[in-house]
Amino acid sequence: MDLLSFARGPALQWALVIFVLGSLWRLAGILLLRRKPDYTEPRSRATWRGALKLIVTRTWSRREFRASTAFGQSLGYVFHIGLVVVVFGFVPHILFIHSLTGLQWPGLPSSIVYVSGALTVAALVAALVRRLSNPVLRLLSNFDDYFSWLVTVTPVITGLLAVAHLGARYETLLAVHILSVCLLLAWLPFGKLMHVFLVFISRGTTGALFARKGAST
Amino acid sequence: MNTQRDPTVLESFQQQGLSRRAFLKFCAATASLLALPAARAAELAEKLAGMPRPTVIYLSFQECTGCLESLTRSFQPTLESLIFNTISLAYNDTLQAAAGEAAEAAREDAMRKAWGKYVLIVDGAIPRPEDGAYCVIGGRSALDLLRHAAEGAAAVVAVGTCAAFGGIPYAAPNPTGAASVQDLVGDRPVINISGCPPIPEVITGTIVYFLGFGVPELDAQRRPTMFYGTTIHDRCYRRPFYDKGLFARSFDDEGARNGWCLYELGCKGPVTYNSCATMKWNDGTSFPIQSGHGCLGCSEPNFWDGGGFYRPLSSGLWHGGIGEGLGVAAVAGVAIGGAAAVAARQRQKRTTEAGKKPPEAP
Amino acid sequence: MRTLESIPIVVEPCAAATGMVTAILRELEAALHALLDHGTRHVIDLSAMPLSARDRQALERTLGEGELRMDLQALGHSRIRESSLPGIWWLRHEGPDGRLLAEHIEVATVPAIVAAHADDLATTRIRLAALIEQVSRGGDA
Repeated sequence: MDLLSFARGPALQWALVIFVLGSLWRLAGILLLRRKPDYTEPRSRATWRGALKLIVTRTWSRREFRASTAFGQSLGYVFHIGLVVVVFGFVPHILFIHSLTGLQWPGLPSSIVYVSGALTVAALVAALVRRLSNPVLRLLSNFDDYFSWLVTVTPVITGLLAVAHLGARYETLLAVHILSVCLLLAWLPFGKLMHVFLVFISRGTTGALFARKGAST
Repeated sequence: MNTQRDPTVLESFQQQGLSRRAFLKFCAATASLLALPAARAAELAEKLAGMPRPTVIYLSFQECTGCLESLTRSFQPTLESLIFNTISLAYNDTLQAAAGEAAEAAREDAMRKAWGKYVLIVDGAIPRPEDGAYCVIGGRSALDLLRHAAEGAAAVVAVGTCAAFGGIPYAAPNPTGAASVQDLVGDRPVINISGCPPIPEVITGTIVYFLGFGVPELDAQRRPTMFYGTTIHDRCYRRPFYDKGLFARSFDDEGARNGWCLYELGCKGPVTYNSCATMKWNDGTSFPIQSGHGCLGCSEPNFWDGGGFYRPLSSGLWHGGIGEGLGVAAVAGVAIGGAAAVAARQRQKRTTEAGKKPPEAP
Repeated sequence: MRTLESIPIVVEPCAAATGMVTAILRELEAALHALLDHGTRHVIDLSAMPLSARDRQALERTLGEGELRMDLQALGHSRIRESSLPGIWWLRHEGPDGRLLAEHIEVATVPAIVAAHADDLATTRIRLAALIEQVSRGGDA
């Protein structure tokens, strides 16, 4: 079996299996935990509204912290939006999702996707530089931080190389790109990348608690 | 004319009523096809003029005869048919007039006379199990015929994807245990001219090149790089549409009529090495993409099992659905997560209970 | 009802001029130097060049037509023309079915395919001797 057939076949299948199994494992494990019973009088019963509100309000820092967090947060938005544009806007990716789920939507012009991909890589590299140069961040960073960065940036770089037909024969570039995505899928449930699901759960839980307590969300 | 020795290539042209100048035209056309520089083109003409026609044995096994049909035109003499003036085709079971034991004996005779020097052309795959019993010609298995013929060959040319990589007999589940020529021939130079079928000029061009200069430069799949060095995608006239992201969504839709890229309709051009986009088919008339259908990838190994002709390259390559597997994974994930949560809850309960107990009196 | 004829064909031929004509002329210049200095001939294969329609017209116009035109009937028709520049020849080879086999520009005193080969001359000598014998014996030429 050649590398591309392996990447598109068993590698991708197993990566998806691990992704589904791992994600549901962690989600079930977290959601089924006991929460400390709250014996206080609830100030408000609109906890769902509070949950949703906090998800939205936490998209940007509170004014007091903005000065120190703006740069990092902006970098984050650049690569998050960049990834969304690349993953969900590039026609070959849409076709892949279509082959899995049956869903399909119109794609973006490829040049926009390429520029977005380049900006994503730049922002990710800048984020890594910031993590390494800031002494506090450096102290706090662990294997999860660096490895998650690596499995995120590698698909974008290998994807750009593949569309540029740069560095090796196209079928090799495509195979390497698909394998890097397999690695991302397999790692995602077990590291900080799980925030793709957990961010909504954690913000929502906090918002629900705040609403119940009558704190501002 | 000296009738004792075999006629040279030029002499056989002349025997057909074609002059030296006709021969030079043939060489010029072939050299142009091979993109040879002028000096090499002249060299080719000189070499061919003086050399005796090499014996060629053409053996057909598990094949559909499409490759031979590509090579020959039964109702119109073409340049490709002139290949038969440059070679002495001692055996081809489709083209020859002779049949039966006499034909087989004539083949053995020709092979013996040119032992070690003849060119063996093979099309079709070769089944291996049961001593090769699934393909038997004239009482001998294809396996046996190939092994015997390859022993005395100067080179083996595997024409068509079936001979080069196994092709359709090799496709899943390969019920006959088909193998390719290179799987079976280890000690002779093997040249793969893959394609289903290969472009006729690619077949004739490679043979003429071999006659003039020996084995050409081959890629990792043993295909001549002069024809298989670039992908269809690299030379496709619809490439600007791919680069812009303009794809036809279904056959005969607006995009298709405007000649947009056929990636979404399953075109395997980006991973297929062949000359279809430049040389085209039927004397340069067209090729699949120009006619509105995506490339099948027919010159690549295992293209029949490549995930489907109409599924794009970016879709997964699994047979049957993946839904079941993911369903099982989902259930397993929830189960493991649930078990982890239950264990955690037990721990939480124990901690809470421990906290409720009053401290030991001092 | 949708038929083949009702599907419009969008044809956009490339008409722009590229720099190929100048490149070819420079190659001809170099080839001419080689011919004068060493007597070597040179052939440019036009089928191997990415020439647009406008390039081809420009090249034909630039090279022009000379005083010598030759027709070769062998394996189909071939047209050999000397350009307005002596020593630069334009050869167009067609096959028996009329399709284009090869198109060359050759820099030489005379194109290689035109001159009679030594082996052919030897054959001519034999045949001529036979013809002379036949004619002198009183038979018709």
